[in-house]
Amino acid sequence: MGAVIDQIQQTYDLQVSGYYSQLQLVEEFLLHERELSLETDTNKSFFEAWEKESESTLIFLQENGQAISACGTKMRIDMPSKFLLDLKNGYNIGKLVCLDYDQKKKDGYLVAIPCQEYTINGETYTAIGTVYDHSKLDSMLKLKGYDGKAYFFMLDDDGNITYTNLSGDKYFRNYSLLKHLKGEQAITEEEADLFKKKFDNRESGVALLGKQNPYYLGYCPIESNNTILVCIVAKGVVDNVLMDYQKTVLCTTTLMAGFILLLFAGLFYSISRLSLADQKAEYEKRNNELHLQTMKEMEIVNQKLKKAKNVTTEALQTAENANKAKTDFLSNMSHDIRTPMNAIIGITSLIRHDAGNKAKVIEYADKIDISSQHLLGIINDVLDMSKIEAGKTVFKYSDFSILDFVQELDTIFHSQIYEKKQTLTIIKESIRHEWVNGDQVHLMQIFSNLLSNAIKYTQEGGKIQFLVEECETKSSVYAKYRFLVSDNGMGMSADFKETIFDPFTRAESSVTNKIQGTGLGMAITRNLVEAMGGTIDVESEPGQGSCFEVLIDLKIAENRTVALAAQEDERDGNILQGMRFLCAEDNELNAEILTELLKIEGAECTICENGEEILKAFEQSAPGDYDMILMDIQMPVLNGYEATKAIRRSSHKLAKTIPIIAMTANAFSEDIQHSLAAGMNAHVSKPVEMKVLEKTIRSIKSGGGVPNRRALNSDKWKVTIHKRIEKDS
Amino acid sequence: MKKAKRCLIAVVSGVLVATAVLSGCGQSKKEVSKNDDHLTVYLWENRLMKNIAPYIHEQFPDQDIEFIIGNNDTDLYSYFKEHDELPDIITVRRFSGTDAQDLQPYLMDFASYDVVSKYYSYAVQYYKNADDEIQWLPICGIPQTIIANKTLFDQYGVKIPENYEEYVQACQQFYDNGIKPYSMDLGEDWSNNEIIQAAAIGEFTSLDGIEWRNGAETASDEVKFDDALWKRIFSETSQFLKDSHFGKEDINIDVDTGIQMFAAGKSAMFHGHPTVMQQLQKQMDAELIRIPYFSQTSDESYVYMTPSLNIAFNKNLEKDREKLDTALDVLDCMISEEGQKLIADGSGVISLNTDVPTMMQDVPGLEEEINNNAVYIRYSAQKSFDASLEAVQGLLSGEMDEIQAYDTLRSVMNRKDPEEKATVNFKNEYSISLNDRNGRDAASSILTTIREENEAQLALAPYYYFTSSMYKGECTSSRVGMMTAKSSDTALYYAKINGKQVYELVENYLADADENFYVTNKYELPIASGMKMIVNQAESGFSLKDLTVNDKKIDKEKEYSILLTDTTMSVLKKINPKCEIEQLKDTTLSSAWTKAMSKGQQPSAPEDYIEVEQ
Repeated sequence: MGAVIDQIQQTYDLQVSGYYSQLQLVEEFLLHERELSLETDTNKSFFEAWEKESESTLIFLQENGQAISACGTKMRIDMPSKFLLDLKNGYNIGKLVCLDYDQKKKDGYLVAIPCQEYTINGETYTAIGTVYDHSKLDSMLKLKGYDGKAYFFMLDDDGNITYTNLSGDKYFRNYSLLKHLKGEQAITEEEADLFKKKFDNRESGVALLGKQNPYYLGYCPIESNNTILVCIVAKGVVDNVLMDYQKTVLCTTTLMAGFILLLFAGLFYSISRLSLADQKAEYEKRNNELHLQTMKEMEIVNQKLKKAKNVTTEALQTAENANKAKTDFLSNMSHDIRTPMNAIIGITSLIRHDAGNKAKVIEYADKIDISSQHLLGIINDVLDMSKIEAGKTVFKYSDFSILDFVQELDTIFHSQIYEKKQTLTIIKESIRHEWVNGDQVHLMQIFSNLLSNAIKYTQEGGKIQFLVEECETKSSVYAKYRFLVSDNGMGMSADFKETIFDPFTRAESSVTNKIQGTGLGMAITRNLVEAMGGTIDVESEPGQGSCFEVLIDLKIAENRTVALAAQEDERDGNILQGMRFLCAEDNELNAEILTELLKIEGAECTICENGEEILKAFEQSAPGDYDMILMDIQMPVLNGYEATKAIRRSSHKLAKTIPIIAMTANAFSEDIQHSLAAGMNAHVSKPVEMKVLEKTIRSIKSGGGVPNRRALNSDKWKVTIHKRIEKDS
Repeated sequence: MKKAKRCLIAVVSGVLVATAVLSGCGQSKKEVSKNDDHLTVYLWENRLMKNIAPYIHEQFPDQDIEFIIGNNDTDLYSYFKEHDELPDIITVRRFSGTDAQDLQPYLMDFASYDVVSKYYSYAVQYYKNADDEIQWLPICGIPQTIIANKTLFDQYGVKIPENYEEYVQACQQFYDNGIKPYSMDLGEDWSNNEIIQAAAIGEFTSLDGIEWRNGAETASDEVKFDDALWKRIFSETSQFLKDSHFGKEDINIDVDTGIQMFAAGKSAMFHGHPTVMQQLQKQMDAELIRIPYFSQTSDESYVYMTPSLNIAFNKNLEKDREKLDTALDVLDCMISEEGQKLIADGSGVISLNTDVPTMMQDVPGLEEEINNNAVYIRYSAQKSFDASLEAVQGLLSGEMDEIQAYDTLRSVMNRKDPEEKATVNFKNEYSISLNDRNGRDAASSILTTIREENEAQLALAPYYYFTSSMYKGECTSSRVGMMTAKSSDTALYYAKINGKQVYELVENYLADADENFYVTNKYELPIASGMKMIVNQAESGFSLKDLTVNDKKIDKEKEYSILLTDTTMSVLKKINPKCEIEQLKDTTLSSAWTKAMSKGQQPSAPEDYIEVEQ
């Protein structure tokens, strides 16, 4: 009986936990902007698909129990206020309810989870739920072992029923199980008091009750929504089942024993029938056959060993080559890293020497800036590569304009082209779908690399062409784009062309050549293109130039759901002026730099050494003391993620609304995701550039910045639902 | 022979004496009231005696059920409880968990019975006590809303408000045109109680408000207040008073004045439940419409509602299964569709139990709120009425600001009642239950006292003005006051009529006391004083067989002075329209009784005023 109770508890817990998880995903999909419209086609389609798929009715709940259905009908869910308080205190709830709206009555099992506040038509909601048909849970929990003759109940901590497999309107409201059992004299007052204590202590157990009509009462706690499962089954039923079980076991054992005996008898009989001489001849024959077979197998094994030896030799050669390449790389790398570092170190000495000369100091600072950017680029390349190889690159998809994208590339490389007196021609052909959905950042990286190389390996006065063309395709969802980056530069040999996309390959050593680079750029570029489902090829002649062709499919953006981060022109006035920041930064030097930079912009800054300090400072502050929080991530005592979560959970008036910007040396998109999931509004990379910070703050103030607090791949949902609708319609 | 005869006489005498002794002695304590096995049901208002009691009798003609009048709060039942005479079923109008605490150990827990599952969760959420028991249940919600003169609105081009902002605009427009926006009777404690809860209805229906209310209803000592919540409540109350243009002068507006102003078109809005609106509609040519109360913090609107009655069962019923079943049948009858219609006089019901629909077809204007279940059950702890009165009138007079008003409310709510001194020491006990002659000694004593105080020779009153037994010992004036139905009081009338007219009066009363109300059982027989009614009981009802004064048949030619109540006066008026009847000035039955007892005198002894012949 106890085992059966445990099984039901696990099944229920699993099922209901699944319901809660689904609701969390619904919340993330629908409520990431905290303003939900019931009228948009996208949302309506989602509601329809969800309700059909899950066979439930979606509802959005206010703190006081008022609710609205997905179709916009207002209602009040009739349930005791303790459930509303549970939601407010962050607990999930589950209860039998009766929905009465649109002149229809609908009974069902409501599951609901608390959410961050969101609004519908200007009114604030705090939870999301869905009502499943009563029978859905019934059939799942049906006790086959007892032929459905058991009765079970879920009780809240007041002892009232929140769920039962019994049908009857009376169980929906105010039904105290123990009191009714006592009233019907199925249990005594003492027994009722004892069970109440056990339920309050969330114990498990089984008891045999009832003198005249004995029955078992089993109970155990359900963790997912703080209820107690109680199962009542007549003793006779359990005994019958037990007897049936015993009979089954006995029959099975008897059959098995009989079978084994027969088997032995048969074996014995067949052995005794064969004569010894026959057996001997048989053995000899088999012996010869075995010998021949063994010889053959040994021959095969020898051949395999030879092959393996060859493979190993080749592998050894490859490893030696790779090792050499890595050694070359490391020596190049070592040089490449040391060069800018030496420059930085050298220049700081010069600063000390010329500290009084402002113009010189600025000049030196510019040079440090250039060297440090270069160094950062090298480090990023290396890290990106290892990330790609480890399969950990995260792609962030968003809508963008191909034309704007090309224009941005033009802008970026304009100055380099100008310096080398080169010509960059941009050609756009047959662009039918300007707006696409893709990882703009990585695409930028790809073509930046190709253009950068084109500029690098083309002489002064040379010509570079960047072509974007939309090709014919049969797909109505994806557009095929062809990018060509071609130049009339030095070109490359056929041998080099074969290895250009291999890592650590460079035309010449950086030690002997002024052209610098890690040799990882093309490898990264190829890996990125292939990871996005595209292809990259190169044609080249030494002395004639090179042409790189990238073919890639990009999803056509039908609904531009994500606004492009606007390239805002410089506004008059400085947005940082007058702002007060609370900052967490454990490195003294970085903290000093940040404070000074903000001061120059007219902003104030209070520095805290770690996450715990900043949490205290925030909780002790009055609303208005700080406009924003800048949060370092890697800190001792309490890191930035944890500190952010704690701030959001605190009872400070601005806990949920004060913008928090992450500052981190890590710039991978998964770190961005972590930041947002922890409750941060935006993310800037270290070292913090004031222009980037300004832009981020502007974005936050204009309503962007947050998008997905716990953004999973929300676009994935849209695709899934769209596909589902297409399938069902 | 003589000796044998003497012996026989001696033996018979001895037996007789023994019997007399045995019947007179041996009972350790004579109980004041004899409940026997019949079910006693106290109804807080005599209107209920006339509408639901007969219906219950009709449904259960074989059950022995006695309906007695009570008062609108639990004090009367506490008095009964102290003397171990708590009735089987008790009802009140004003209820709160804190007020009923002393009765807790004596009341049954409904949570063990299926009836409680018929109720909406929101309807019983404030009825759970600290021990998780549900000892009281509400019955038949009556909406209380603003009643607006739509004709006046149209005349001045004012939009019927649909939210608080529009309400404010409407009030301003009327004010600018010299019309009082709202003539609420803020001289009455219930209106002050209403205005706080209605003005801040958004707060009371919020989760904070619900939490506070749960705590307030289960408080065993002081009622705790959530300062943040209540500061908002008083801020909104103050705002509502200003927006409605209430001022100092409104402190003196009683219910009659308020109604008159509205009926005369001098104010645009009044307030009340459906019956009030129907009555007003009959008097006024204007079209009337209902307006719900609006939240000041959202666009929500709510129907402010009070249960017609709240009911509880004596725990002892659980010792007698058959009696308990009868009691549960009575309860089922009251919460049935027909029962609720009767209780509400058919004028609009918000059903609190799920098996009966809300019946608001004749009460238009609240459809949206009813559909959304935007209903609020008022908080009606006894002290909340006085507390609200003091606080609101303090705000209106300008003597208090919001914080002071809040402090006043809080202190009055938790004020310890000063110990009341006894005003009379009853030397005798008289029961309210029927004696063996079907008379009620306590009622007879009260009526006789009042009759003698007013120098009338005779008196006739219905049974439903007398509530309580008189227990021997000291009694305070508030307890004296509970012995008559102060919630359903009656004026007193004095008439001089001849014996024939007196006979016809009593005869007609027994046959047809009131429209739709007949004396159908012994419990409903009237109370007489100065005369004795000899009544015939037949299957068809009761009829007057004879009437005696001072043990002699009443002299039909002689003139008698007689004291009457509303009901008996109207019977007299019906049979004798030309009869001169004088209403006693500023005197009601309750006030006459309390006045008589305030002098410390003993009440008159009960009379042998009735005899029922089968």
